[in-house]
Amino acid sequence: MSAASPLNPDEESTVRDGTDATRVEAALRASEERYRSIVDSAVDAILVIDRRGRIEAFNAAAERLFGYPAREVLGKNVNLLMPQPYHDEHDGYMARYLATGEKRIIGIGRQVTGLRRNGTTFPVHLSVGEMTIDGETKFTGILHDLTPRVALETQLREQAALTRLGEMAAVVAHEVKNPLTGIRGAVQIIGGRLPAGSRDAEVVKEIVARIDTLNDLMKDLLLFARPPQPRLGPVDPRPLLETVVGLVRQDPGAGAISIQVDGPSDRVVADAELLKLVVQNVLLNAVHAIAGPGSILVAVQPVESMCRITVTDTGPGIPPEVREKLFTPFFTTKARGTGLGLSTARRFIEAQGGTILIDCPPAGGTSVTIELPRSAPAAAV
Amino acid sequence: MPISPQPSRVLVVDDELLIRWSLGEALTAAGYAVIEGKDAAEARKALRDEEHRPDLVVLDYRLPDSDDLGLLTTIRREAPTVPVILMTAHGTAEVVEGALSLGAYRVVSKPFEVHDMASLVAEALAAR
Repeated sequence: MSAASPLNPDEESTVRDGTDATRVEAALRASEERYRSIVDSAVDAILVIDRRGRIEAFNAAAERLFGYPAREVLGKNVNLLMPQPYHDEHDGYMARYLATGEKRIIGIGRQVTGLRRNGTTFPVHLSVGEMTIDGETKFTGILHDLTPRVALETQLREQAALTRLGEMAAVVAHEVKNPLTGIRGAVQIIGGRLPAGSRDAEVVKEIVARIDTLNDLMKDLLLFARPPQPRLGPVDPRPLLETVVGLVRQDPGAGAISIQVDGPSDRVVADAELLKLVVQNVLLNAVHAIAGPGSILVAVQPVESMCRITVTDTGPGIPPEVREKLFTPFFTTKARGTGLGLSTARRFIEAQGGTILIDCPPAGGTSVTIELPRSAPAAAV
Repeated sequence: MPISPQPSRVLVVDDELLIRWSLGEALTAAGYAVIEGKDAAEARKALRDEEHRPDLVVLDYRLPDSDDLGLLTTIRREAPTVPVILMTAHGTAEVVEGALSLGAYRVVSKPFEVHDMASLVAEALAAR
């Protein structure tokens, strides 16, 4: 433990006898070593501050947790390890405690937020003990990193929310699709009785088209909220990509865009139908982003146990503040869109044991990287 | 004197009035005699009517008084020669497979093209 030895105060020996003094000193040294080992081998961060908040001790776990070597923080105000507003308020908390003796954290412990050297924050459980050394009040803080637990809790909360959303979507979809089917059918029957080519007949066609748009929205919602169980099997991504590219070329926006598929045949473990939906979604996003002439390259590249499919477009790229929300359900930059495309894509890819990432290379454009597990080479037939 | 053949009878079962009506109109226009049922109870009654027994059933997956594939199971057991076309707003693979394994002729996802139902009915009747 790097410290001005607050845990092991230099005790003035009153023993004058040389032999005894040596023995006592040796015992003290051994004792100090023992404490130092305990503190430094602790998994949790331990730090000691004085009554003015200055750091006097900072163990190895604290160094790892906050990213500071002890020598950089010793003697500095502990608020260095706290984000705002605690950074500015901590001196006040200490002054209030020293004046009133009212304990809000000492002996209680609570979840607080730590600030790493690199500026990132993290959840941490802090318990504080008070001690007196040579008449000086000191405080020992023990900090337990809560990052993994909070991440797990967040994940569980999100999963629970998705399950609820799935249940809700199933009910809503049924309640909406059923009447939509009735309306659509009835309007078509009535429309069929109108003079062909009349204005009224045209309006009926428009009504049917609007109903279909509503139905598509329900389909998107259902697909996201209740994704089908993937049916995994060996798939060669090359021909699958060619098929999807063929479909996307028919999109009205794709006329001035050259789309190429590049790379070798490979074999991945995937659900071909789900993979097609994902690739189609990614390609249509690229077409809409380019919005005019441009090109899209779809590259297949085996990388060890994974097969990497990269879709790179010459569009305008994505601003960083948008990029971080791309996979958030219901987030969209389109005037008309559910904002479910990419979040659904990610659910599908992860359900197939893969990953999907979006990146904007400095050269411009956007690049979407999908990685899927390759299937073991088939036995010779 | 030639006797005009009896039109095939199609039982349409759905709790949504507009679906019953539009299918009824489309199938009648295609030459079928249509019987309508708004729930499982009416469907069972129609199926027990020996005199006007339906030749085919267009059935909704979910009815107020029947659980999911319950009515399909009953129909297949009591009238195994009557083809059933199942309509569903829950077009999951599990529902489709469950219905087909129970012997449904076809599973149609809602919404569908109302005019396509007549040709599907003809196909199912021809396949008997």
